[in-house]
Amino acid sequence: MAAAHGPHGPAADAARHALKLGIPIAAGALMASVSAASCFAQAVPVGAAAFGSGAAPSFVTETIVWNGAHALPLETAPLALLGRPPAAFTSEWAPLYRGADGTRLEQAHQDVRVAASFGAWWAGADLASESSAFRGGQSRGESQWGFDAGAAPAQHGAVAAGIAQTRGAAAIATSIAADGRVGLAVEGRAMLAPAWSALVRASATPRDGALDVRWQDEAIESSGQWNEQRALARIDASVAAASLAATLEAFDRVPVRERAPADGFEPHLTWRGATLAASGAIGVVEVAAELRHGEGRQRIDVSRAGVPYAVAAGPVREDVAIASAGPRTGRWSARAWTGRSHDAASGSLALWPFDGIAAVAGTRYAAHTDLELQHAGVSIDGRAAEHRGWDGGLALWIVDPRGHYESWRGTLFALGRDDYGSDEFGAARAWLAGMRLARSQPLAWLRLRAEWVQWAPVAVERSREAAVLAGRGGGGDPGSDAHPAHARTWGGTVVRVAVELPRGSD
Amino acid sequence: MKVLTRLAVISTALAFALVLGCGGKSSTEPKTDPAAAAGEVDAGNTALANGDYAAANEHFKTAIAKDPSNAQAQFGAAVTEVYLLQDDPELQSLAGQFQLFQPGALPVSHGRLARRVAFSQRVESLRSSVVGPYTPGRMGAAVVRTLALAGNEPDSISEIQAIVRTKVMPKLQYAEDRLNAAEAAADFRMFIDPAVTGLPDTLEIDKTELYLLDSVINGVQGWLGILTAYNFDVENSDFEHVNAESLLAPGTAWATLHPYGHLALVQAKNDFETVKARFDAAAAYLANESDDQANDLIPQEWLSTQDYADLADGIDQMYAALTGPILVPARDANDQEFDLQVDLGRFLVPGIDDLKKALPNHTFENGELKPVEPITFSTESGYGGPTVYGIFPDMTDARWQQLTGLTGPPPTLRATR
Repeated sequence: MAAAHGPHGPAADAARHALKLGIPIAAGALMASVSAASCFAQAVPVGAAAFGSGAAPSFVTETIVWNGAHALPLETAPLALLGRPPAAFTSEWAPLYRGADGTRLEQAHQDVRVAASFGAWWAGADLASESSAFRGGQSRGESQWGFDAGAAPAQHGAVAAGIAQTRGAAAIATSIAADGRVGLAVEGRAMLAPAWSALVRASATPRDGALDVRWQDEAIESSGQWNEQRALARIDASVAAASLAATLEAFDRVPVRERAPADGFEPHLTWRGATLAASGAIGVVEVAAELRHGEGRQRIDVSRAGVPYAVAAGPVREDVAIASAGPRTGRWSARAWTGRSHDAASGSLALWPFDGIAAVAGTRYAAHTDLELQHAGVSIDGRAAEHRGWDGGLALWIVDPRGHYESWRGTLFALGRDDYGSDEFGAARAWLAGMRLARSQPLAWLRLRAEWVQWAPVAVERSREAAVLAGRGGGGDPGSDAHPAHARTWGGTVVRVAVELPRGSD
Repeated sequence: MKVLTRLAVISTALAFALVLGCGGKSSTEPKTDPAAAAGEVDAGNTALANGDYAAANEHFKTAIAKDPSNAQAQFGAAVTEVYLLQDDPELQSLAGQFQLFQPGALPVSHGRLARRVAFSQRVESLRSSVVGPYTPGRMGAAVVRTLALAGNEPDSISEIQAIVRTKVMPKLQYAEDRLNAAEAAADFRMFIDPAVTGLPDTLEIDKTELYLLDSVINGVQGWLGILTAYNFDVENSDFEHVNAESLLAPGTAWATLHPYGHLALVQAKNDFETVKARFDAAAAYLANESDDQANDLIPQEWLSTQDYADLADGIDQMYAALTGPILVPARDANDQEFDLQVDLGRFLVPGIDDLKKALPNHTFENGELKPVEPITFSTESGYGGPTVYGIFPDMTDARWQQLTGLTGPPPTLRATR
């Protein structure tokens, strides 16, 4: 992915994916402000990078993990316990990026799920452990900055109970964070009329995270606590041979201020999304189409004693159209999509926690970034075998990121500007090939499944402008080494292993 | 000295960067027009947002003319005057030379990478100046380096002095006057919109920032006063044939006080004392702030940082050294610690008429000054002796020898080695 665009690509995409993939540390803000704002050699788009876990729902993320997202957690979707196998374990490891410059993006996830039914009643529990590393910065040369978001694995879990009947189902779940905060989720589904049904879901989930920020030889470790509040409403209808669905969803991240530590960060997100989906059969072909739109605003404040010294904030928006088709009786289907994802943000970093002398002048580093990712792709994908067998898929994804950034040092009460830098990036388009390969295999009473997803750039189309920029070693700054003449390439990897005790084995 | 060094630090960080504006046109209109002044302030802020400091400066000055009590206009005029000075190409071309003796000056290069390097060096220089251990070599470093610069590049120092006196000092005084006017307001609080700063949030500026800027400006003025007090011009501008021996020859005008020099040094002392007064006022105001600090440009939490403590300590020491002898820890040539009495104020008031007479006994080799070993100071009439005109009250030749390691043997013996 990072190869998708020029010199700034690796870090930019690493950052982007870090957020979109839901790193459980809402951190990028810092990275945003420190990296871009300091305008040092490696410019990382603020908007794309800044917001950690609660990154808004993202089709880009879905594509990268190949729709193989973990089972919906009970703490946000209690009805997910219906129909679950009695026991299941899933482990996922995703080394997505490791750059020569020290930038690193990696995440891992393990969860154990158990469920049992008693007539119409169901009960279940989840326990998940998530860890992630999102590290970046620069430690050579005259500029030394860095961030390290993530660290120790975070565990969270929930217990849920629900009832399922012909005309509907309902469930409730609760979770407790390590610091004692309680989460709650409720979900209900009902038949409103023949061929019409509705689903509503709401949850509030406690979360926490850590973030280290380094400036020159000063490092500050911050922690944050917040609640993630989600709500979703969906209506499904069947008309003749077609099915229609309309979904509205909201996702807010709200920091827990009364627990703010001396050095802390507060992530904010407000996201609203809508989805329209239709599917049906045309002869022997099953077709489906989907339109998604979402937009919101994200922000992160990194503070000492309640006073923010690093801030990044900006809007985020995503649009995507998806179409798929496949034989009604076959195991495979083809899919095509096109979409656009936009992140913009402005960030600032005050130096008073790091350098009290600079504080006298009220020095601020500042940056603005604006990144738009236009993309389109096609894939052919096979459904997983019921018991034993191979399945997989192939995809071709064209990613065309475009944007610009500017950064400067705000001198003398932040009113003056020097050390100004700006650049356009993304004058290159990348063709990415993706492959998914999976094997389902029964073993005694268990069902095993292993899956591997690999993305790799196969071509980069550089515009004449980009080639010129690369050839001269930088855009607008002949003295900068920020733009290597060639884009680094990398391949994002996702490895997933699942073990289930199938229903009927209990 | 540590004091002065620290002052230099602060000065520099903002110093060359700041500066003030040329004498504003004093309003002769009898009537004030607060509404029109407010409009000019808004226009000034808009110009600031567009990076047009000259236009912003004009708007703020116009606002002052319409309503001198508009503290925001006073503040804006002061700050933009500093920016305009900072951006002055002539000053920027001299900044590199100035940097030789004053860490933190603006780098000369306009290149981004070069500026980054220079900034990084400046920061490190400032940091080491503030937190580093005291050594005699640091004492009066600025003065000594000024002398060195003057000796090595007399044309440069003369040029710098001329520009400082004619361009920089008047603007600094203008900025200080504007700040004093804003400080006189019953209360001063302004909120700078993100559209102006480009930052995500509104910034609040209050009297804390006014006092600190005032303090910094006074620090700059003090240094520049010292810089311009002495005559480093070369007779007949004969830069081609100048060397240390000819410059330091007894009776030359080089390194003597200008006619206005005594007054400049007195003013410099006053400036340095004002540094402490304003710095203390800023700290006191900040400590007593009771509003939400989230948007404050300089928040109360700054008072809890070690850097602040070091800065405050340095300024206290500077003040003490200016107002009477103090004991400062020093290290001799063998890295042994001992206490040294310093009365820095004696350098400024009454001052030293001829810096050449403050030097230790010396000779010249190939045109370069070499101290005679063991190091001694002349006490003949008109010379300062080892106390250097009372700046080091308890200093003796023996202690200088201990300090510098220049203990002998006598030149004749050394010559036989």
